Parts: sequence; C-alpha cells; structure tokens
Amino acid sequence: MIDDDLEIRQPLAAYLRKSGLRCTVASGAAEMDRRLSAAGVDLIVLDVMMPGEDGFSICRRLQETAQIPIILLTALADETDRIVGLELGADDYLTKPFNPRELLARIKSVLRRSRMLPLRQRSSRGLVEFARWRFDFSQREIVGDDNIVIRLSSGEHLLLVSLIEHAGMTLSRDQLLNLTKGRETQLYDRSIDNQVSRLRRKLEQDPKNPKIILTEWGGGYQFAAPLDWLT
Amino acid sequence: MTGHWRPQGITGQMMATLIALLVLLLGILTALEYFEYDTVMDTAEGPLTVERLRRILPVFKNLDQTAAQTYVDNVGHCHDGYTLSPQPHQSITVTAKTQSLAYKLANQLSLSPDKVSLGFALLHRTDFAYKQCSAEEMAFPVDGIVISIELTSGQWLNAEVHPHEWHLTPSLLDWIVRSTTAFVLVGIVAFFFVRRLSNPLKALANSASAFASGLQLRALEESGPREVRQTIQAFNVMQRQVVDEMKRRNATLAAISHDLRSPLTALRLKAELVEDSKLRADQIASIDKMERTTATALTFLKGEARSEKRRLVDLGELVASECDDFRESGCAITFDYPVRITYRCRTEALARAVRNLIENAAKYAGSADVSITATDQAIEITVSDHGPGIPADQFDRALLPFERLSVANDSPSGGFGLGLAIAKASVAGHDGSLHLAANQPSGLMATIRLPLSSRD
Repeated sequence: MIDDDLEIRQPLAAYLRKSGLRCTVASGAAEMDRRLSAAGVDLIVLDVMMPGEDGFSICRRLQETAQIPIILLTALADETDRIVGLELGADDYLTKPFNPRELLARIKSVLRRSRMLPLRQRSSRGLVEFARWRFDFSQREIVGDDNIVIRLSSGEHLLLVSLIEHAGMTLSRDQLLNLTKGRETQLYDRSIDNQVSRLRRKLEQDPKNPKIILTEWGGGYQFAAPLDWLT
Repeated sequence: MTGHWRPQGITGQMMATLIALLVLLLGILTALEYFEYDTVMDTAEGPLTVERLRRILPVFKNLDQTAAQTYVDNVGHCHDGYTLSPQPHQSITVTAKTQSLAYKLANQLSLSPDKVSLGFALLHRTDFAYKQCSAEEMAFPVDGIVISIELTSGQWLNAEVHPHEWHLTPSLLDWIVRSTTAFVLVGIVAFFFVRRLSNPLKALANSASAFASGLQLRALEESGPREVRQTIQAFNVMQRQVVDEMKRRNATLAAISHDLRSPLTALRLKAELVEDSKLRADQIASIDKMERTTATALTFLKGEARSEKRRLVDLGELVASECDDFRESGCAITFDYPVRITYRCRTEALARAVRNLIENAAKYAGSADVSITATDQAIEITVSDHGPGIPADQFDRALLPFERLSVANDSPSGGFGLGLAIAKASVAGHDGSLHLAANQPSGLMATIRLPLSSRD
C-alpha cells in the first residue's frame, strides 16, 4: 500500500489487516522499491498524487519489470485520469474519498481475476464485447452495434460485471450476493432474480429464450456468450 | 389603439420612421405643387405664351378672311382659344403692367408695338373655345388676359390667356409615381445603412441573453457606430470580468471540496477501525454525508453537464435504470414507457438530473410517478409525487443553488440544496428546461423538457 499521506496509510493498513489481508506500507517510490524485493506482493494499492515519483510513473515502471496487479487511488474523479491509469496497466481505479469496503471488494475482485485469467486479458481495460454489445466495466451502460447507449441500473451493472468476471461458471444467488458484498451498492437476495430478468430484457434478443445469461438447474446463473476482450 | 402593430426591432422602427418621413415629405411637396397657382400675369409672361403666338402667327400670312375664320374655329381648344375681329378685343383693362408686357411681346415677336394690344378681361364660358372645357377643369367667369395682334390682313387675332392651374391628371399621377420611385430607391439604400447599424446591436442583444441564460462567454466583434462599438466593448469586458470572477470563486470552492477528500478518506478509514459497532455506524453515516456533500458541490461546480460527449441514448432505459435503483432501496416508483425514445445527450448528466428529481420525491414523499412522453418538438420527463410539495411562489427559488426550502434538511437524509440546481444545469446543458408545478391533489411535479432538435 503506497500513499504519502500517513493519515491514510496507517488506518488503511490497519483496516486491510483487520479484514484478513497481509499488508505492507510504503510512503513513496523509494521505500516501495526496498519493500517490494523483500516481501512476496500479490497486489499493489497505489496513490497517484505523490511528491517525487508519482503513481502513474510507478505504475508504468512496475508494469515493465514486475507483473503485479495494481489498484490506483486518486483524488481526481477525472475520466482522462482513469483512462491514463488503466492504459498504464492498472487493473482498477478508485477515487478518494472511497469506501474502504469498496476497496476491499475491488482488491478481492482483482486478485481473483489475476489468478483466473491469463495475463493479457487481466491487463485489458475492462472493455469487452459480447453478442451485439460493447461493455466498459467502469460505465453504467452497454452500447449496441447501432451505437445506441442503453443505461444500466447500478444493480444490473454490478451483476453484469460479476457474471462476466466469472463467465462460463455457474453462480448461485448466494455467490452473487457475496461477490457484490462491500460494494457501494449491494444486491439483495430477493432482487437478484429481478435484476437478471431486467438485464435479460436489455441484453437478450428474446428474453424468454435467453442466450447470454442462462439459468442453470438449481437456481444459479451463468454468463454463456463468448467474450471478446478489447485491449 | 393598442400599438402592438408597431415594429419592435430597431431596423423596423427606424425604417418605419424613415418611411413616415418620406411619405410626409412626398405629401408636402405634392401639396406645394398642387396649390401653386400661377397668376394670369405669370402665365402670360411665361415662355409658353410667346411660343404659342410664334407658332400660330405665320399661319395667317397666306389665309384669306374666310379661311382664317375656319382655321381659328377649328384650331381652338379649351386652353388654347382664338378669335378674329376687325378691332382689338374690347373691354380690356390696360395697366402699366399690361402695357410693358405688350411691348415685351411685340419685341419678342418682332412686331411694331402698335400692332399689339393687351389687357385684363373677365372671360366667360361663351368666350373663345371655353365651351370645350369640362366643368371640373375651370370655373367661369375667370380673370384672364386677352392679347390682340394685328394681322397683315388688317384683322386682329385675339388670344386668351387664363391662369394656368395645376392640372390634376395626368401630371399629378406622374409626379407621384416618379417621386415614389425615388423614395423607394432612397428607402432601399437606407435599409442597408440601418441594417449596418442594427446588426451589431442585434448581435449584442443575442449575446447578452445567451450570457444571461447560461453564462456562455461569446466575445463580440466591435462594429457599428462609435456608441454601439463602445457598448460592445464594455459588454465584452464586463462579460469577461463576470466569468473570471465566477471562475475564481468556483475554483476556490472546488479546491476546498477537493482538499477535503484526503482527510475524509482518513476519517472514513479510522471509523472502520472503531470497535463499538453503534459508534462506528454513526461515524460512518456522518462521514458519508460529508462525502456526499463535497461530491455534490464538486459536481455542481465542475459543470459536468458540458464536458461529457453527447451520444445516442435509449432515454426510456435511462430513466428506467434510475427508477430501478430507487426501487432497490425500497421506494415505490411507477414508470412505464410505451415506445422507444432515443435522444442524443450526455448520459451521466441527464441520468443525474433524473436521479436528483426522483431523489427529492423519494425523500419528501417516499414514492414517485415517473413518465416520459415525446411530442414533435420536445421530450418531457415528468417526476411527480404526493408529498407536501412546494408553495407556488417558491418554485423559482427552489431551483437556485444552496436553497433549501424544507425543514427536512435537518434529517440525516437532508441534502445540500444543490439537487435541483444540478438537475437544472444538466438540463440547460441540453438546451432544455426544468419546470416545477403543483401536483394534484398535493405534491410536486417536476418536468424536464428536452428540445427535439438534437434528436436522431
């Protein structure tokens, strides 16, 4: 966890440790480099705005030398910043002030993805195409091949991200709830079926005969459409 | 006379003034011309009289008396009558003036003065060829002059001269047509000059209202007469100063909101570490509220509405998604849209506007009825509730930033007074408008109206 602000570094490290993660902190690039060689690091949480070498530069450097997943933290909610960060190879991006539970959820999600997916796909910008749709993980919308934007509710968005991250696997309602736990918006048990049917209405050509999100025997859901990751 | 027929624009008013002046001028000139009577003396002294005599005198050189009489009878007409007599015309009044005119005429006609006799006479309809005059042409008896000239035959040729009136037809029509043509030409030229004057003013007016409605900075070219140029220059300076001042203030506010983010994040993290779960929840709730406040303020100050790109969006799905989010948190929202409506817009900005409206309804009424309709000119998204509503005289105030009308703001869900202002700014960024109205029987009805010019 690299942040120049002690006020954030200390409680964040404490929170992450309390949540059962192993956490090493550094106040800047030099300290990070020292610690990085010593500890086996699975993931880096990196502040962008730091004196000396900034987060973007560290991100670029790390991407060339070590293949460690990175989550960027920034005070700028700027779209271009997000794109720059993701282009430099960051896996996810969070703006301050963030909900620590959201960060925890993102860390788990990125770790899961990095273990599950081949490297090339992991470092994609979360931009994927399937059926007639283009979907950017960071946007609450899908864009059709006719270029018409279809907005997603935050529940639908979360559900679609979770389903795509586990494409080909069957996820039970409990698992879907679990995957979205700690996110800013949570899915509720009773609503998952509703969300799925609404998502189908938006995605599927024939919602009664779904081809993209399948219902599995026993009540789980599976994302079945072939995915084309854009890099 | 209500006066609404009067042109409102500067070009119209100036042209109307000019046309009125030209018509007046034409009227005055016509009247002057019409009432200008030539006295009989003026006519007799005029070149036409000499001309007339010069033309007719040689004719009598080769005519005998009978032929001369026939000629005189036939050649005469209303304004040009002659008689032949053995003596000069009788009953004429000779004055010094007529005598001097007689000399002058004799001189001009190369005759000896004793062969010309000239004097005033009262002329009747029976005299000369006046029988041929129509009733309107002249009133009789008329004060005229009779010129008598002795011919080589010894007879006297008498020619009448009557005051030359201004003849109504066809000269008057002719005059009017000619002067009107001239005036139309002057008018056309004037129109272009007036346009040169009024165009910069019109541009200034447009610029001022654009600035007033959305603080859109549009520097104007300085053109037109000096006073107009000075006004435009002053307007440009004022515009720039207002925008600069706004920018400075916004930057200050944005910097404060922005700098609060790091300590807020730290606070939030520390709160997560509090062991007492009730205290932790309390702290997190307070911090969340602060976070929302700064985030909202930043959204408002950054004017997100204008930076996002416009894309073709399924508006029904956009509104439905916002409704679904509120339904998830237990709000009763009704929304149905019978037809697919697509619109070129800024997705995030418009979604935020809709969300803010539903949020207000949810906060004050706990439920909302949302609808979307499309006409030929506009798309309307309406969010209505059955809550306490807002008094009608406060509708305008409610749309202003940092205006909080209700006491509900003391509750934890209380807002920052920016929800409607942000919604209004987002909609204005689409050239649309946000209206508040009373819902029946109670509650508030907020309507987003989006113009269809940008619809595909």
